[in-house]
Parts: sequence; C-alpha cells; structure tokens
Amino acid sequence: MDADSVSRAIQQFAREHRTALDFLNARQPQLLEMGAMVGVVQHYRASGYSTSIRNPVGTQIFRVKLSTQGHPADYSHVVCERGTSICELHSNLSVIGGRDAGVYCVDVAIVNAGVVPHKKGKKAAPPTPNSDLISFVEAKKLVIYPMLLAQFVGIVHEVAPKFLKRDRKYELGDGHLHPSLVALGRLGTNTQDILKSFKRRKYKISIAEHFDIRLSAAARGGNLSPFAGTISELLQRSAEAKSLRDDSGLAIDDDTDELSGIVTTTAMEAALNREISDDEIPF
Amino acid sequence: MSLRYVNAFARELPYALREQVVGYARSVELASHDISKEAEVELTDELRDQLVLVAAVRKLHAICSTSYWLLYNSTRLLGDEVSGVRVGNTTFSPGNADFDQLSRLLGDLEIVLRDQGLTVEMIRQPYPEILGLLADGRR
Repeated sequence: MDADSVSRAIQQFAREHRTALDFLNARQPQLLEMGAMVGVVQHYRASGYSTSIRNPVGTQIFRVKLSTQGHPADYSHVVCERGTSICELHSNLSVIGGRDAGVYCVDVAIVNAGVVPHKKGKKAAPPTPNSDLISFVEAKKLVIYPMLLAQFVGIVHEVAPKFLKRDRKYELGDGHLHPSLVALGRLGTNTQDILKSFKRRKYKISIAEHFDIRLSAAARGGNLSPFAGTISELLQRSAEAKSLRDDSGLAIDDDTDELSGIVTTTAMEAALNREISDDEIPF
Repeated sequence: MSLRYVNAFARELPYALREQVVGYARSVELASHDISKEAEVELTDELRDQLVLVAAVRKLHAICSTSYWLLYNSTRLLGDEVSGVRVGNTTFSPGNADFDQLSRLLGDLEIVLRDQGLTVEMIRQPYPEILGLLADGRR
C-alpha cells in the first residue's frame, strides 16, 4: 500500500465533499434518532398495527423533532392502531418522570392516543403525564459498553421504573415495544454477561445493537421488526423473505442488494463487520 | 510518527468527524502491539503507520456508510405516505440533490479506496488479518 498516496487521495476526497461531510458532522446523531423513530414505526407494522403518519399541517414531509425545543405540533407523529389498541409515536417528547415531577425528553415516545396536543396554543406544550407513557426508545451512536447499559437502566429507573420490577403484571401487551436502547455499535466485550443478568432480574428492556443493519434487514421486506431477535436471526429472516419473493417471480425494484449487501452469506458477514469499526477494542 | 498519514487527511475533516476518526485511529495504535502478536507479524514503524491509516479510513467509511443507509432505509420504510424526511434544515427525498450528495459521498469514497488498491471488504477485516495483508504487500 502506498500510504502517502492513500492519505492524499482521502484528503482530496474530503475537500471535494466538504458540504456533505459538514452535514454529517452536524447531523450524524440525529440521523440515528430518525432511524430509531422509523424503526419503531416498523416494529408496530410488524406487530399487526396499521400506521398512519401525521405530518405538520400543509406538508408531506416527515419532520422528526431532533431536540428538546419546539412544539410537537410542528413535527410528524405516527398513529398506530390494532383493534382497540391505539397509540402514538412522537420524537423527542417531554414526559414527566415515573418517580417525581422531573421532566425528561425521550428520543422516541410511545404514548396513549390523543394526549399530545396536535395544535399549537399560546403556551408551550405541557410535558406528557407519565401515566400516558407506554414505552420509549433512546438512541446512541456508540458501541454498547457497560456504562452505557447502566446509564440506560438509570433512565428507565427514573422514567418508567415499572419495567424494572419483577412483577409480571407490568408485562406490556398488545405487541408494544419495551423500553429499548438503540445503538450503532456492536455489543461490547462483557456486555453479554450484563444482558444475561438483566434477564435474570426480569428487566423488561431491549437492546438493539447494530441498528443501521437491523433497519436494513427490516427494509428488505418480510414485515420484520428491527427490534426482534439477534442480528443473525434478523438477517436470516430477511434473506428468507427475499428468497420467497424471488421464488415467486417478484422483481426487486432497486439496487439495494448490491449496495447494502445484507442478502448473501458473504455480504451478511460484511454487514456484520461494518460496525466493528466503531468498536473501542479494535480487533 | 504513527498518525502522520492520518493527520495529513484528517485536518480536512470537520471537527466532530476528525475527532472520531483520529480517536479511533489512536485506539488502534494503542492496540497495535497486541494486533501484531496475534498476526505473528513483526511490527515496524511503517507497518504500524499503515495499519493506523487503514483504521482511520475504516472509521471514515463507517460514518459515511451508516449515515447514508440509515437515511436510505428510513425513507424506504416510510414509503409513499411522505414525500421526504427533514433532518435539521435539510429535506431528503430519494433522488433529490441532498440525498444524492450523501449517496455520492459514500460512492466516491469507495471509488477512492478502489483506486488506491483498497476495498471495503479488505478494510472491514479483523486487524490482525489487515496487518498480515499489509506485511505481505511489503515483501
């Protein structure tokens, strides 16, 4: 390898793509939050819900709230309905904590229908009462390491402590998603032990590592939830769904196979390897 | 000297990206002796500098790739119900200029790598294997 030449070529590339790199520089975490919101929508679709996207008045643009600022009415939300079960998905929603009057902003909130104001009044939107919070998702563009898990459990402890109780009555029904941590990286070295311990303690939380790959697998078809199962299981089910479509003679309508590479066995391995570059322990 | 090849291009990156790329490259530099042991390759200064460069490129590619595919798959899953997604002040819809810009970013980076004799498959390999390939290239 001619390292000098590689370095110069990347330097030139960075100069030529400064605008796009500036965008990523500013918006990389927000892209994950958007992906998390869409992933939750897909989870509800896969759980048999019909979903209806409600955009701000006068637009067909899906507008994700990406900070604590702003009125919910200025952003998109999604109504999910299955029989008598109706809920709404909101991004960066302020909710009252589960132990006191503290106000927390969760990346994706799953709340009872109708509790978030859809029209702007003269006052700022009040935080959503904790009793109307069904569940929530937090997104981090990190490898999942022990302290991140501890931080997430701390958030659940304050915002929705019932999910940390052993009591079975707190099991969520209706296909609802338990409080979930979405991350771009893989599970770190000793996080498996911690997750097993969470399971023994009956914590009702889920951890979705490699979320970009999970979302890719869900987007391939088969009506899969990006939160369901391990990465390998999800990719396998996605590949099987594609295989079924191919066997039935249905055409693939884009070039995703070549680019995203999550269908063939070799490409699955490549996709799984992709996020290893985010690892703190690099080999 | 380990980051000399990395610093040469990283200074062209915006701050947060530069921090991620250089920070990751440093972590590989710190692990380079363990990597060389596992690879059973004698670690020279030049080999270590090359390894760290590959690590930095791999991180940059991961950032570009992850961001693009999150956007692509999000718009795909939202389907026809929306005409695009708005992230900050930028609206993305398949085929519009901003969307194409991120697509080109990833595509052009992969072309640059290919032109330099590097492939995405190669830079995604475990580091001991990468070090082995780099060492073979010098023989």
